Amino acid sequence: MSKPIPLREPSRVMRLERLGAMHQSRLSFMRILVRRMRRERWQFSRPVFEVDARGVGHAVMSTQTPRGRYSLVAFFHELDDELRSDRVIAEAWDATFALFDGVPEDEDIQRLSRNVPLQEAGRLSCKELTLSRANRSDRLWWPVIESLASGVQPEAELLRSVGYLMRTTAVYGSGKFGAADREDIADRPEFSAPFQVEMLTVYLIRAVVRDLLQHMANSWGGERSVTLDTDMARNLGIGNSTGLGMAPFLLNHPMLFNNWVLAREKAIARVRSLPEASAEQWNLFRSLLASGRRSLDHWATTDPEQAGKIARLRLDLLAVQSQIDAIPESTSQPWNHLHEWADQMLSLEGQEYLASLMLEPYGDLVDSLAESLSHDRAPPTVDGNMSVAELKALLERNYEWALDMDWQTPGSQAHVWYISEEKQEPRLGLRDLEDLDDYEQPLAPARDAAAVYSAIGGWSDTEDIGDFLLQHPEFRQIVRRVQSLSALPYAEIRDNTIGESLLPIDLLRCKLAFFGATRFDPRSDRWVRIRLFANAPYPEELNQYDSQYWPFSSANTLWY
Amino acid sequence: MTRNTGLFPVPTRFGIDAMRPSRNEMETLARRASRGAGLSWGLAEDAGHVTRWLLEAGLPGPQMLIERLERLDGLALTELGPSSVAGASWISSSGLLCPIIVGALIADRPDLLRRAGGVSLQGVVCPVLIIPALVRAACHLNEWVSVQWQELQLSFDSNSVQSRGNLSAFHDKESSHLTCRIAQSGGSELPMPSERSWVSRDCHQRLQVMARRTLAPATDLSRQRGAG
Repeated sequence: MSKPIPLREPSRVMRLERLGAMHQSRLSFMRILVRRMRRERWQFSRPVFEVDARGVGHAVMSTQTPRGRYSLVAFFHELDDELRSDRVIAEAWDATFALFDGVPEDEDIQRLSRNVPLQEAGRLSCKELTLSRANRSDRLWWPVIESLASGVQPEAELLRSVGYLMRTTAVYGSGKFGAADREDIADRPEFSAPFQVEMLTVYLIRAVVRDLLQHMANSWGGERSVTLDTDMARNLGIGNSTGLGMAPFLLNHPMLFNNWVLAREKAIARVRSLPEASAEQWNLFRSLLASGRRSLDHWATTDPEQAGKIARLRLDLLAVQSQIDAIPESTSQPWNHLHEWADQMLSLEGQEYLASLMLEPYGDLVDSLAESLSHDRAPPTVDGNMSVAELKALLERNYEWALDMDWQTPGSQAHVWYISEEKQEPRLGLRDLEDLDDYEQPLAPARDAAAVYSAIGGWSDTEDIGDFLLQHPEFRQIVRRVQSLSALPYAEIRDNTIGESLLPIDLLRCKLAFFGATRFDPRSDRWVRIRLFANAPYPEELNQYDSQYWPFSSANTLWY
Repeated sequence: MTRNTGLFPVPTRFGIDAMRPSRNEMETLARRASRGAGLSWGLAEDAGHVTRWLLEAGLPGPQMLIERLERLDGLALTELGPSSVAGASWISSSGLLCPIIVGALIADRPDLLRRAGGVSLQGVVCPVLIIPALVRAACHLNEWVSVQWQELQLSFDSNSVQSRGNLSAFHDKESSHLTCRIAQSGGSELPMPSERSWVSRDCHQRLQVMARRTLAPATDLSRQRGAG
């Protein structure tokens, strides 16, 4: 008789090294969006396309959902090559976008044309849901246009190696720069899961960018030009460049993060608990594994450490292949068997890849967990009546890993998070080299937990925390954090987020994996390039075939 | 290139320039500005929530926040909270109470309001900023909570805000004597605005000046190290 498998321990899961090795899964936000768009048969159109042969102008790409319409308003610019930059301090881009709530009137487009190209220096209204921008791939843009214009398909290998025509460098939602707040849209079913407006924005950008490139090729080549092969086009994603701006998110939204990790862990536990797997499910898993292994060949990176991890992942997946062939048919709880083998034998990348892959044949079992991902609640309060003794016990139970760290060594607080005046973006400095203590952002809960534990040491057990906080307002934030997260197993990252061995990229990759990103290409320990929606069906293809396994498609095979 | 130059130029009762910030950006600005004025991060978070709540309710949250921050800028926080909460009258060692600090205190321990005759707060600057904490207390206690200062009486429960008296007291900057108690004082329902509230450019810029204190100036070193 098989027993239900418990969730993996937070002490195992909530380590940056593992979180930074995560892969996309069925519960990734992009996957959730595509399933919904297909299920609800969203209709897409392009009511405006006023672009000249140089690729300058504007367009509107619109989608009709059961609830209403959403429109991506896109502006295409002519940008000098020297000005093209992924950095947040850039001031001009090849393309700028806003997602409009509804159908924009002419005066909306006029207003947006004055603001959207300015990005952070412009203003949006509550009729806009997101603001974003993208730059052309230097390696692909003109070569592809030239090919198509001269009647020839571009080099397939070139497209596969670059993987995108344009890359976004920021997608802003949640009220930034005057856009609509999350609260204004959170009760719409299509936006109930996290980051759906941002995902929809990128999905539409991918479609309109393909259209823009084709338009330019057609304008140049006239009669001679050909349309980009649909399989090659589908293989392309939207690139993305992510830096420290995203790094604090998981630390600043622990309750939300807990929901994401918990949903995935529940999914993993459900599949591990299954008493058996059907031949069909095994075969599907095998096929997806084979496809995943093939796509690793195109996961290129210049970062030597990541290259090493990919090489190891290749070996891991080969080992998985052998292992599933070797599992006897009669094995009870075969997925758990595989999982426990992986824990012993595979790298962290391999373990997390497998954990995600195992979920694929079980949409019926895990997709409903998408409904538990969001966290739209009032901010937590402080319980001032809690006694010092109770807080001590809480800290000892949930933060013993932080209390055990040695906070006196210089390496333990080597880094300092701050926000730059220049572009109001998070940065990471070295405490010894830069005089930044006055500007330190509170992104070190482990250190703060240890500090408050030490401070309450001198107080009597029966005193109220409320009194303690009146005397020590500097501990208010950490007290609220410790109290409000006490029942949430996966809220807190159990690592030192200011220590010398911190790799901020782990924070980026984890969040991006939950988005559904693939092909993580680190450019430094705090900057990563990825792809979004690669192999996803385009709007016109959504209901042409069963695309639920789209991340595993390639230029040659679709998943039917 | 300066940031946020694209304010909507609209003639309003504030003057030529005003904007309609989202809740999120106002909360972020309020939190940073409060930290810039010397509140701890935890209290700055509370100031952000307070300002957001008031903005959404159509009350002068941002405007009164900057007044409080400028007036009590840099003063020691322990001098802006009550020296003791044992009695019915709360007063600080400086004679002034910060509404964020005393609001947090009440929200943390709403049972402190359970006193016959209520609690009397002496010298509260910009009293409107205490309202969200009292609403929280009312929700937590599952009772009506009322507050009075100058000629304004307000009552809150989890669903409504009632007012009676002179609404101009919402704009009081000077310190006031407040009485908070568990009671309903009646009055008319405060209407919830259906659209975003306007915030003057002056108010916004003053908050940004405070907020900028939390931003580290760029150095060549930080640029070299591949900052975003």
